[in-house]
Amino acid sequence: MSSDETILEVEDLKTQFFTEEGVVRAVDGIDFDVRHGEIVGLVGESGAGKSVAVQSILRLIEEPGAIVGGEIRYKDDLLFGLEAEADDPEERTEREEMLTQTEMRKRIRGREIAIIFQDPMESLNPVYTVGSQIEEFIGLNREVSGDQARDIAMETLRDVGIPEVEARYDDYPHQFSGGMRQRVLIAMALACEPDLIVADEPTTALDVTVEAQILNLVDDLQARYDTSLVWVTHDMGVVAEICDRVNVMYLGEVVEQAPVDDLFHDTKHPYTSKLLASLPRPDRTVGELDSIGGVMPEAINPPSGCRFHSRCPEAREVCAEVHPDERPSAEAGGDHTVACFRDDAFDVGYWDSPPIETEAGGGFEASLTAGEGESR
Amino acid sequence: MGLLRYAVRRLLQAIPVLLGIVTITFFLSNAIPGDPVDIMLGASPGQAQKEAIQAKFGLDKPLWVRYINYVGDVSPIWLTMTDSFPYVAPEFGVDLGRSIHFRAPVSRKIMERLPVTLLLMGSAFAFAIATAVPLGVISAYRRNKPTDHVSRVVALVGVSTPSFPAEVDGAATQGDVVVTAGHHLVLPTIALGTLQMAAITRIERSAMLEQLSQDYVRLARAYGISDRTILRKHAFRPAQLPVITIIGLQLTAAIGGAVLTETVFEINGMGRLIITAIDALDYPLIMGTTIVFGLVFVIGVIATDISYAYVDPRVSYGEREA
Repeated sequence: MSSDETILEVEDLKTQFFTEEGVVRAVDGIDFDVRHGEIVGLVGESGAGKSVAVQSILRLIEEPGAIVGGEIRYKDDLLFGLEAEADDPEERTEREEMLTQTEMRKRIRGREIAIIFQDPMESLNPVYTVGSQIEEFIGLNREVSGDQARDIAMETLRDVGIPEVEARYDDYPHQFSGGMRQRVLIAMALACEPDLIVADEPTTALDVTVEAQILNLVDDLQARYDTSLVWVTHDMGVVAEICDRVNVMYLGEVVEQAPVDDLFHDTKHPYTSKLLASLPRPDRTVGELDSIGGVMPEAINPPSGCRFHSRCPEAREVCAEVHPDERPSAEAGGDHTVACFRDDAFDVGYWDSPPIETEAGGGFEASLTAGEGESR
Repeated sequence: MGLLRYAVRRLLQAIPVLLGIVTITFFLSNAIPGDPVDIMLGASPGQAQKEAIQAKFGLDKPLWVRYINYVGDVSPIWLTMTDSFPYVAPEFGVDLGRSIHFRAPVSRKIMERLPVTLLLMGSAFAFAIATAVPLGVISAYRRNKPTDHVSRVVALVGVSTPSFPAEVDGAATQGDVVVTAGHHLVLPTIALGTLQMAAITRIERSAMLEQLSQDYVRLARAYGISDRTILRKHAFRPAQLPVITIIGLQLTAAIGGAVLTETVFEINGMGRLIITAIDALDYPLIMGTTIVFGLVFVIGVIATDISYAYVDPRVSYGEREA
């Protein structure tokens, strides 16, 4: 089904929030792409910048936030891109071919790229009927008449498994359960026939059985509608279930990028390993889940060197000093990129560097003492 | 039908409220020091004359008898004693009694004055809503921009101004009392409406701000809905619940404001009627005007509740969930 054609390309994307406490570097130079017909995962803990990253794609970031750098290309359009001013190289302005907000609204949002939000309970307007809400989006994003929009809405609702669509079409969102509302949101996205759907933790608010149903549904519909997806989640289990390729994010950066099988079986980054280890597995009985020690530092003042070094069990002195960029892994090769000095693609003397004490082992207590030195 | 049954039920629930209004007003007005007959007759009336007038208005009877008689008079249905079997008979109709001061039926005075006050309050609310809603919406949309600051200052000044001073300027500009309502209504309307406008603007702004950060509004944006449509439709309708609440509550302020406005602008409405009634200790007139104000308020509250359900489908008319 995939024709390897890249439809979305994100390069060195930087999105920041200008708050009173300082500049929050929520997304700090990430690269990833999405090819036709693919499901690409964006994984990381809360606060890694996943949601900000996907909202940046649609340029939905509101004040006090702003995209400050990088480039986003969708097919032949430049969704975001800056260039240096001719007379002042420091000053950077939006490139001329970059789409305006109006163009984004009329040509991209809903029409080309649709989004599914995290919380199905909050994503439908409580004062309008479910049917009318889908119909409105279809009417706006597809060249169809009102009656046709209604037919498409009904058909898509049937596709996503809403029972008795005729009877429920004019019901209000509060008359739907959480799982049903999430199906409605998926139907909204599909009904507009976009080429890319961005799903921002769409199953996080649901219970596991409903989550499994939704994942199966998405897998099925994705093949049928031939849509590409960006799937944001913190759940490695979900990643294994549906993603083709995965980007692991930590504190505004992508630290590892690989096809899903490689990521699980040939894990390169210690953060990815820790994420995988924290997943409950039915084939292993453990007394305690292996959680990642410490908490993610604040994006206002990220740690020096490798951002994960403060919580990394493998951290050495060099990790605290030098910042690893993301490179193709020397060992894994192919599509697998990683930002960790343990990989041979880097030559910074990691193996000769002495190990350092981190929060990784000590959990909460260690995080209290180690927290003194860094940030603020 | 749900709506009709709901309205009827709410009206029935209003009966105890009105009874409470009657009871409290009755005893409070009778607790005011002074005697209406003394006021009527001047400095040194003759004892016999005084007694005759007291008897004429039923003021010679004990308080509790007067209370029960009054409740009977104002109730649409009541039982009266008769001489023949079964010794009681239903009595229909509402009788608000005769005004001591005007020497005329209270109901006639009220019918004369009520339309004026309703016109004043109605136009004040229309003015307030028509200005406050757009102002609040624009203020929320342009939050923390100059437009927002200006409208917030206007609202703050408006809400801090009691309806009295706002009127003084107006009162100075009008020489004599003219009967034609049209252009004469403008200043009182602005005077009375400013306070409501200010309160509604502030609520409208904060409700719209809250709506604009809701997920479903962000979703609408993400699907390419224009800001205009979001303001007019997606955020606007769910934002109106608190606005309706405040409009309902402002009704009390408007009634109080109407009394002041009518006094200052010398409008012969219910507000001035109630002031005259209190000055003269005209018990039936005090009672009558208060009950009518109470009725206006109760109807306003019921209208508020009904419009809730109209705006928000999650509010049902007390029926079970579909």
